[in-house]
Amino acid sequence: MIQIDLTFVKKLQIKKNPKDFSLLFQLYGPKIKALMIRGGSDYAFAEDIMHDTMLTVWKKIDLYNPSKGSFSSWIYTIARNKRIDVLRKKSSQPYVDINEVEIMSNDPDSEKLMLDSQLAGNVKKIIRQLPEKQKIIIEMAFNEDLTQKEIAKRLEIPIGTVKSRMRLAYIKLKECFKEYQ
Amino acid sequence: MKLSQHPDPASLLSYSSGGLSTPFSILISAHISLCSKCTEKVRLYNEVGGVLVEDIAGITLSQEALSKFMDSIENENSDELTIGRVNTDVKQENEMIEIPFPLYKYIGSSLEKIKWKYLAPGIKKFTILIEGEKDAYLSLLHIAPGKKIPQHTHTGEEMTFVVSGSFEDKTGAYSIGDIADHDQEIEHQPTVSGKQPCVCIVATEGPMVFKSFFANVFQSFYRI
Repeated sequence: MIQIDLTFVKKLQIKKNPKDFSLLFQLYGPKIKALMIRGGSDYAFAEDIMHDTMLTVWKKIDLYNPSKGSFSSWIYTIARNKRIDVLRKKSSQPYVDINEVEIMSNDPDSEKLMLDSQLAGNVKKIIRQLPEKQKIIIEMAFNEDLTQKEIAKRLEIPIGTVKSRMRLAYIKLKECFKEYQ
Repeated sequence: MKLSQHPDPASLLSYSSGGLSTPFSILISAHISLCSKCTEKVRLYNEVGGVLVEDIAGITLSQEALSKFMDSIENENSDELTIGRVNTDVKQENEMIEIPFPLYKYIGSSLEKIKWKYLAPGIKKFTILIEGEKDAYLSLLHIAPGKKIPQHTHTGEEMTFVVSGSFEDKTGAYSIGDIADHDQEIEHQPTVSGKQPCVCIVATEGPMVFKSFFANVFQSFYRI
């Protein structure tokens, strides 16, 4: 089992060694492919998106900032944007890459943006503790790429219930910040 | 910038998971480019995505996947891409103009260049066409000071991002950078507040349903 920790990522940021990067590819490539297939992609499309995602990770590895989120969440957002780009056939996706956004403000709230792997650990713990009804909705949204309407239809519940379960999950998830700060 | 009205946490979750249509995603992108609180929420949701990626069981890649990838990276000149340059450009442009950068692609960098179409006394509209989008619509509205949009509900979700000026309805007061995130249950009558016109971008899933007969007749011709 390959272990990718922050030291490994920092090493890649300092020197882009293709051999080291192949380890990253072997760990995350199959996961991204699986994520795409769960979202309804066929095998060939899933592998194309995976390839493009990992190529972007290679190109932009030096832009990853661990204080703004875990490495996995960074890769997730790249994969999500790639998929949406292709599906919606856009020349550029509408998503703001929040790792690249400088908030135009001196608002002290922006100081709260500091995150690290400890937050990822807390998020994982909270997801596992979520009531099943909320967890299913989160997994459908993130793993199966479903909209609120599609989730409502699949579970045969009103869209308002989907929204309220998402809000309840958020209330629990934001406890991560409290624990962390 | 201190913003007081934010998207529903459920909308931010769908934004993060990729489950929002393009018009709604554009408005949330514009809002989070100005709002540290919502950036924080989206980061939290992105962490959820990251955790789920960590936990998912991988699917075996094709035999040639690794060699194809290694060939690609050897052909790449990665030195051409740096975050510093991207960020610097974004910051410089934002200091000079009034439009949040996620909207540039759709409405340009200045409201002066918009080709407005007359809709009703005191109301002008610019329709933003989103390629490939069939289920949601995006419009830029220019509404004169004091003007009231007739009382209405919606045939689906409606999200409004204030580009300039301000408006208020029974759900609250909205000014630059704020988002009004309403579902079809909401019946409201937005009214422009202050002395400046209100320019806002509205994402909808269907036409408004007006309470007044005459407004509905008008709607059948002009579709807002």
